[in-house]
Amino acid sequence: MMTIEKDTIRQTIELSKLEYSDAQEQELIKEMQKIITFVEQLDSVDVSGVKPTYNGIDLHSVLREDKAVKSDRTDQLIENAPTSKDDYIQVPSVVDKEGGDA
Amino acid sequence: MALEYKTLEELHTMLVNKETTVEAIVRDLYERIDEKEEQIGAFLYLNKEQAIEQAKKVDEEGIDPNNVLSGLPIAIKDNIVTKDEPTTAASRMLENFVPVYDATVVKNLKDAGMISLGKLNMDEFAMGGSNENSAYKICHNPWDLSRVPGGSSGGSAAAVAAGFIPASLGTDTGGSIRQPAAFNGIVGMKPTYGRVSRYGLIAFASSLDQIGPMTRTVKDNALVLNAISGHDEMDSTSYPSEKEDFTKDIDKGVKGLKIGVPRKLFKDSALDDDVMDVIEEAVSKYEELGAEIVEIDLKYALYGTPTYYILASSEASSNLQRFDGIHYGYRSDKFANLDDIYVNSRSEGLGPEVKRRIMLGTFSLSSGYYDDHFEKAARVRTLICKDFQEAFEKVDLVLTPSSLTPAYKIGGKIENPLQMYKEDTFTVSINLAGIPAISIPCGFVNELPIGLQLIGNHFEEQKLYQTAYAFEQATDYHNQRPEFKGGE
Repeated sequence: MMTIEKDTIRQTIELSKLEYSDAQEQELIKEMQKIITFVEQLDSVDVSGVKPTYNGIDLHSVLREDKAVKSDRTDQLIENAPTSKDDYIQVPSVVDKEGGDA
Repeated sequence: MALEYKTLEELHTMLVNKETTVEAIVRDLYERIDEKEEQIGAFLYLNKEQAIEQAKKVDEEGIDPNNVLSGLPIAIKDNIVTKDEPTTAASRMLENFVPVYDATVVKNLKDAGMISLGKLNMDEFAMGGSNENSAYKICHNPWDLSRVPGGSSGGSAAAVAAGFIPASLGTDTGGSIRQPAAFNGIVGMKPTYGRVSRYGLIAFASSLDQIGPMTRTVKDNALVLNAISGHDEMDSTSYPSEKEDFTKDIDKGVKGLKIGVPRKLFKDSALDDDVMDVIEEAVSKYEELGAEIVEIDLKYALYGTPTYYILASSEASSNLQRFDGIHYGYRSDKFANLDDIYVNSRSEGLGPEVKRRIMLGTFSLSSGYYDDHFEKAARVRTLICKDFQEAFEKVDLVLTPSSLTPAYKIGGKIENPLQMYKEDTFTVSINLAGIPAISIPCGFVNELPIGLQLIGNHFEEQKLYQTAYAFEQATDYHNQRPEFKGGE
């Protein structure tokens, strides 16, 4: 049975672009441990020679004609952005002044 | 005129015979909603003004007497986008989100002449089995208001059972149509993967999600599936199949039909004894109707739940990356840089269950764990698919309960996510295999509805409807109505 280390949880939190308080993190570690132990039931399944299935149905690389279709929804889409200027969504500078990674 | 429990077919007949109007039906249902919705909490958004406007227009133009759905009301689960109407997926992340387009299924319903009365409550981003994960409000089961309606399509199921609408759309990734249908004593169909377009469905797990109808009768369900199914260029996972009429030969009956019953799975799972008894009675009913019952074994079915939770969470962790506070939705006002926007918006806007699943998914996909978790689960998925293919060589369809227990008390399992995950034992394997399944009411335990699940091979919805219809017509469960008991 895998023990969930604090470092592993912290790295997963970072990859998920989430944040937990110290108290929440304690709770999270306990929950994740239970869930991981539960899914580890799969360890006992023999899958030798079995290929993985990732799709819902046997359809692959469905293509359409390479034809550009005009979409004039820019105004409507921009309306949904919290801050915008003309046709652009406005965000803080990508090159940080304050540290932290963009 | 008491229209709240009429079927789509009955309403259509009344319109054709000019016994009522589209406007009268819509007003009548809104009256019922005004009266009873506070006890239930099925709706997140009501569309009253526009619905009445539309109804008046249809009455002016006249309904199409050859189209059963013409002018009839429906409501839509709130993870399906509706143009110019709020769509929140029951999350704070999308609190003020108004889509700029209609999902294909919404367009199909409009083309069929249906009128949407509003958007329905659900578990946030379709993650949950009780509707308790809604960021807005709890939904109550009309059969016992102290109990959950199931989930994640809790609002969709409760609204139909409560007589607010004759039909709704739900979505099903691991059982989210079938389990709430069972908990509410109604009919819920999860179609074959690819049967119904996912364009405009806010994605949870892209290889598992399907939209499906929820109704009070089997025939109504088939009528709605007729409207929403079909190939869609906008969804490359939508299967290029011919348009089908799922009501065709619906009264065929079950003589000679081979129904597989995996009794070993019932014993090995935590299936409630009383539920098992109700299911066995239903099996006997099918034998009476002329079906042949065949014992089958689904060897890998108990691995379905861990397999599902790894794969669905992994796909969700990727799908939910788009909720970053940038393009739309909730943006935190606490940030010094771009990364802060992502982290704070997501941490503040997403609920605990959603975050839990993103964590499990990210973990399963990350370097060092990918092979043992994500890839391993995908290989067990293949074995689960094979189980069903082998079963369908011996039988025409498979029968199981839709859920381990009847509807449980609100607050009963929410503190223990793992306990709730285990409730999905009979439903998740069906999504993993991409096959269709329907839940129909088959009895009661302590006055709470029980659902039986019929599982078919790919694209065999017609067989499922015929088999479901035979049971429905030979019993009276679909005519039972909830009494809104057990409130505070």
